[in-house]
Amino acid sequence: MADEDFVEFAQAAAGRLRDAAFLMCHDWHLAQDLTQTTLAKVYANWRRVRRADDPHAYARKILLRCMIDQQRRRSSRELAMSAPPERGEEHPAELRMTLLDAVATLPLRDRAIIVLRYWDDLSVEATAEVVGVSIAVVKSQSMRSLSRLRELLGETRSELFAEERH
Amino acid sequence: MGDVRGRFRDDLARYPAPPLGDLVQQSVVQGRRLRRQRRLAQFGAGGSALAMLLVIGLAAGPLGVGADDTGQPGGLNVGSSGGSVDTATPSPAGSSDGAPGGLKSGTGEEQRGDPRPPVPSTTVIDTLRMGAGPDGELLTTTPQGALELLTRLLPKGETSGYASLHSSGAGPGMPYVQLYLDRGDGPGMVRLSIYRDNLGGNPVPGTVELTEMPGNCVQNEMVTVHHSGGLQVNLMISTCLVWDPKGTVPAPAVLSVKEATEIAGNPIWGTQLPAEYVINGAKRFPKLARSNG
Repeated sequence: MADEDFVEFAQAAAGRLRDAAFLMCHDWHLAQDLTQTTLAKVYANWRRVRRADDPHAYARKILLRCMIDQQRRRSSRELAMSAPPERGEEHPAELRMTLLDAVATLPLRDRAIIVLRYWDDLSVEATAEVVGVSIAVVKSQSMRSLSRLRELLGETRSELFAEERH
Repeated sequence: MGDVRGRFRDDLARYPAPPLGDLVQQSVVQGRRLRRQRRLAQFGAGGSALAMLLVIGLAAGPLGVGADDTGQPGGLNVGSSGGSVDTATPSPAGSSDGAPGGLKSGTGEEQRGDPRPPVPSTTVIDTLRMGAGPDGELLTTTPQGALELLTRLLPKGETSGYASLHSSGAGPGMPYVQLYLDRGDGPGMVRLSIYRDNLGGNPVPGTVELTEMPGNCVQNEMVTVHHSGGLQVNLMISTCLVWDPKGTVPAPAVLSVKEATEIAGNPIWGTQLPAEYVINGAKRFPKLARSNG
């Protein structure tokens, strides 16, 4: 019975989790692995998770921790990146950075904040809970990250990313 | 374009997702394995305590002597530079016989019957009885302080190549450092990180995990000791001095898994260290190299 509950939950959550993972890591294979690991951890704690107010929030939290763990393990294999292009308009339109490219230049925590808030449509409070930081940090980092993304993407229109939901 | 979500959607459309396949079923299988490992770890802790009580009982009971001779039975001595590894728990990863780099069998149960190519595998290999944390004045753990403690806990040898590494996701007092240790066979690299998983549901404190990463010479073997409060101390035993995908710069593994376990299991490790380590570390490593890895 518990397994059936879990499978129902997992089938509903898997696609969404994997999309969020992909937006943060830009790698479908890795996103798939991280989603599977996340769901495995949810399964291992399912008795507790199913009683939680929002199992999806718990799953998001685990996903983020899995990403952090994965990045830590991988970090020693990564070579130092050259600095990202400072402004998008230096590039021809067809080579211009996508939002995914730009998001990839942010630290993982900031990436998570952007994805949770603007893709998963979480409130500031819910985002703070998942990421494990204060509401003030979510607000300030959102602003900084959006500013950075705007700079990288070379957008000139003032309304770009101007929204700031609370 | 103020719509970030729409732009994300556009980007996702450029990179079509592969099918989910049997992801959910595989997560159930993996989740069951995690449950088993957790039960094993909990059983190991209980079994270790029982075995220790038995030993004490045998020593002190019939003869009425020996209790004083045992000192602190089991567990790690607070402030000692190592601490004894509780070997009452069977080690599924094979023997940790103290030979540097000797544990290569990689017989973790996750690999049995798994047709996939070599991937990192994590196995619970032991359970330590954790001693109490340090007393006295404590300061937030710095990379320099961590190196100071690490160099004191390492086996005898010449150390060099000190560096602080970039570590995303880690909070204050959770450094990630590296050094080279030469025990007479040339330098080998060791890395240590302190990390906290805030999710809950962590293995019981004292659980020791061995993660083997085939093809990753920098983190060839990683010993993780779970401390209280979700804190993990990871000690990585490298088989090269720098990351090189061709693996052309081999270096000896300078610690055995057992030695790494003793170091990572030292109860002094934490997000705060005795002030002495932090202060001396700052003096000893005033210009610590920084590395992205």
